[in-house]
Amino acid sequence: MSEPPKPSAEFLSEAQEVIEAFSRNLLQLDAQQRSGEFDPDLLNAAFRAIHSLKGLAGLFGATQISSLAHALESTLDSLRLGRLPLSQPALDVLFEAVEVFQNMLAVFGLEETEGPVSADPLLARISALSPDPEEEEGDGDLLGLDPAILGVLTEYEEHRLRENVRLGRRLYRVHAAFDLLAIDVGIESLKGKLKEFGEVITYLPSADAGSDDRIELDILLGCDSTLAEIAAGVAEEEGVRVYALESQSEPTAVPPGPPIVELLNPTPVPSSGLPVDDGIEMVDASTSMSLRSISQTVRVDLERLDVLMNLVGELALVQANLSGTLDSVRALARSADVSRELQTHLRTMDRKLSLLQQSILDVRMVPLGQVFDKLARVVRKLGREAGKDIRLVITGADTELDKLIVEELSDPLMHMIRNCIDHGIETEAERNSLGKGSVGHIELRAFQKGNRVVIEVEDDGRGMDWRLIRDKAVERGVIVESESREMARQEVLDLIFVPGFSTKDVATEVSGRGVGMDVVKTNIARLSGLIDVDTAPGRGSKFSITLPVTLAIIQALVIETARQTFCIPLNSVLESIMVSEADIETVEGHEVVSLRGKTLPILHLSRIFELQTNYRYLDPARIYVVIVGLAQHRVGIVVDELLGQQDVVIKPLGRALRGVPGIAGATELGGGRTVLLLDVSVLVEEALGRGDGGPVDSGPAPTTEVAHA
Amino acid sequence: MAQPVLLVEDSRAVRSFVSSILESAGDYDVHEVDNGFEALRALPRTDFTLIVTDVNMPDVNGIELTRFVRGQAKFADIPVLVISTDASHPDTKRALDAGANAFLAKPFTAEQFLEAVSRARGGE
Repeated sequence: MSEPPKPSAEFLSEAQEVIEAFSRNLLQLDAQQRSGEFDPDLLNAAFRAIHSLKGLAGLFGATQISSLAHALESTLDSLRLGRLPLSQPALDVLFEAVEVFQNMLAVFGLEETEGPVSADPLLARISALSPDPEEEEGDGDLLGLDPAILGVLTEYEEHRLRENVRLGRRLYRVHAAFDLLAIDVGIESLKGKLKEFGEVITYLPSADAGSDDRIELDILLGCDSTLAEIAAGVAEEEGVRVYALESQSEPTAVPPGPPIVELLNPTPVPSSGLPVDDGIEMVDASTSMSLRSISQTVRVDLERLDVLMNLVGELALVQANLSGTLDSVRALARSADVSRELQTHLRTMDRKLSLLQQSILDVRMVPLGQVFDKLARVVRKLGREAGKDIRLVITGADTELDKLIVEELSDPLMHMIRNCIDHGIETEAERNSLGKGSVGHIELRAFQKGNRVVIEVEDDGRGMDWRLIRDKAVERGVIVESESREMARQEVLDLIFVPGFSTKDVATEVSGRGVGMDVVKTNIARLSGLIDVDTAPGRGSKFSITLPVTLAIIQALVIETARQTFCIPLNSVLESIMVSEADIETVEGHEVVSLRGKTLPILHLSRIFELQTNYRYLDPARIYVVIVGLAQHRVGIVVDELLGQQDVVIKPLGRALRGVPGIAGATELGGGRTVLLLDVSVLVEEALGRGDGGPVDSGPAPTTEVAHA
Repeated sequence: MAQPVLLVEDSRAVRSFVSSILESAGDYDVHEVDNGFEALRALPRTDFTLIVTDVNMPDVNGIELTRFVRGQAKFADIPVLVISTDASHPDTKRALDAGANAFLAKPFTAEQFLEAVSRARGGE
C-alpha cells in the first residue's frame, strides 16, 4: 500500500492560497449582502474554493481540514443553490471557518500531523444552518431545453439556468467559433461583452463541428435584453451568432412555484429579422486578459530567500576585499595595466551585485492586501461584538512591501483597528445624537511616497482632546506641569506613545485611544518605521505609519567605540565631525558640542550600553562625533574609530537582546563577526531626555546620565 | 515511446501528485493544464492516450469536456478518467453519462489511481 504523499510545501501553500481566496470572496459577499443583492459568481467561487480544499486536503492526509471542508461544502452548496439564504449568521460561520482552517493548517504544517485544533463548535454551528427542507427543483421545467445540453451542466449551472428563468430573464445561446491558438483571448473578450448583458451560465464546447485549429462553443446567457440588443453588442466578434431560447410564458406570468417554462430546442432565430453579422475581424487582443486562472508564479520559502540574501551580503564583502587587493596591486611596480583591468571588472561586478540585490529584494515584495484582508475580518467580527455598525474602506491594498514587514505589521495594525472599534467609534445611539450617522467608518489606506510606504488608519469617531491628554500626563507624572505649558499640541499628542501614559484607565478617560500604543510604536520602530497621530475631538483620529519599502539590506556606517564595533544606519547619519575634548561643554548636566552655532547633545555608547566603566577618549584632541538625525532632532554619537561604509544584511535579534533599547538588529561583518545595529530613533529620544523604559517611570528625576563615568 | 496523457485539474498540488504517480508508474508524458479551455487547446496538438479530468472547473467543466471529446470522431476513442471529490454527487453521474470511462473519488492512493487508469482503458 502506498502512503498518502507527505504534507508537501506545495500542499500548504496552495491550501493557504485557497483559504485566502475564500476569505476575499466572503468579504465581498459580506459587503454585497448588506446592500441586499449579491453576485452569484462570488458564492460559486467560495463554494469552489472549499470544494478544492476538500479534495486537496483529502489527498494529502489532512483529514481534519478535509472533513471541515466537507461540512462547509454542503452549506455552501445549499447557499449557491438557493436552498439556504445568505444571512449574517451564515456569513459569521463562514468567516469563523477561515480562522479555524488557518489554525489547522498552521498546526499541520508544523507537525506534519493534525493537532488539537477543535472544529466541533464550528461543526455544530454549521449543522445548525441546515437548509430548508430539500426543495427539489422540478424535473420537468426545463424539458424544452435540449437534453444533451442539460445533461452536461453541473447541478449548479442547471440551478443558475432555472434561477434566470425564475427571475423572468430570457435565455440565449450564443454560438461562437474561435481560433484554437487565440481561444483565451477571444473568449475573454466575448465573455466581457456578454457579462454586460447578464449572467454567463456556462460554456459548451460544440460536439458537432470542429477542425484542428478551430473550436466552436455555445455559451448560455441569461439576461433581460432582447436578441437585437445582444446581437448588436457582439456584432464586432467574428463568427458569433445569437439564438434565443424562448420561453412560452411571459415573465410576468411566472408563478412562484416551479415555473412551467418551455424552452424550444435551440433554433437559429434571427426571428426579429436581425442581421447577425458573420465574418468580422478578430478581436483586439490588448483589451483582454488571459484566462489562465493560476498565474505564472512560484511560491518560495522565505528562508531560501534569506540564504540568497546572505550570500549576496557576503559577496559584497568579497568584493570589498577585492578592492583592497586592487589597492595593493596598484602599489606594485608596473601594474598599471593589470590594475586598470581589475578595476573595470570590479566595477562591473559592483553593478551586477547591486542588480542581484535589488532583484532579490523585489522577490520578497508582497501586497499589503494580505494583511488588510485579515483586518477586514477583524473589523467585521469586533464591530458586531461591540454592537457597532462599522464600514471599513480599504485603498491601496496592492501596495507592496517586504514580506517580513507585512507580517510584522499585522499585530500593530490589528491593535490600532481594535482601538478604533473599542474606543474611537461611538455607539450607534451616541452617533445618532451627535448627528454623525449611525454607521462608523474606518479607512485603511496604503500608498507609496518616494521610497517609503505610508499606511493610514483613520476613523470618524470621538477623536482626542489634546488638552485632556496634557492634563492627564501631568497627573500621571509623565511630564511635569512647567514642561506641559511649553508643549505644542503635536508634542502632547505624541505622549500617547509613551509607556507610562498609555495605560488603559487613562486611555479610557481621554476617550479611548492609546491603549498599548507604546507597544505599537516599538513594533513599528523595529521595522525602521515612524508613527504619527492627528486627531480632532468629535471628528476622529488618524494614525500614519511610514515605513521603508524593504529592510533586509541597508547601508551602514561601521564604527568602533570602547573596543566594540557597531553599525549605524547610513540614512540617519547626517555627517561626521571631529572635535577635541575642550569643545565638549556641559549644559544642565548634558554634554553638548556646538555645530555651526547650534548646540547639539552628545551620547556615549559606552555609557548607554554600559560597556566600559572607565571610558577614556583614545585621543582627547581627535574625537569623532557622528551626527545622526531623526525628523528635526540632531544628536551626536561619540566614537573612537570610523571603520567605513558597508551594505549590511539585517538579521533579527536573538531573544537576549530583543528588549534592549537602542539596538535595532544584528548583522554579520566579515569572518562571521556579529555586530549590533544601532536604533537611532531610540538613541535620539534618549539624548533628548525622554528615554523609553528609562528612569522616567521609576522616579521623579529624569536623568540619562547614569553615573559610570 | 512515452504515452501522452492530458491532465485537466485546477489544483496545482493535485496536478503534481497525479503527475508523479503516472511518471513513476510508467513511460507517461503528462501534459498538465488548469482549465477546460486549455484542455480544448491542447487536444488537437497531441495524440493523447488518456485524459484525466476534474469535474468542477469554471467555464468549461469536466462533464462538458467529456461530452466534447466523445462527440469528436478523432478524440472519441481516448479513454477519459474523471476524478472528483464526491462519488454520490449528481455531477459524477453526469460525467459518466457524458461518456467518461471511469470515475475515481478523491482522496485516492497511487494504487487506486493506477487501477482506475486501467479501468478507464477497459481493464487492459
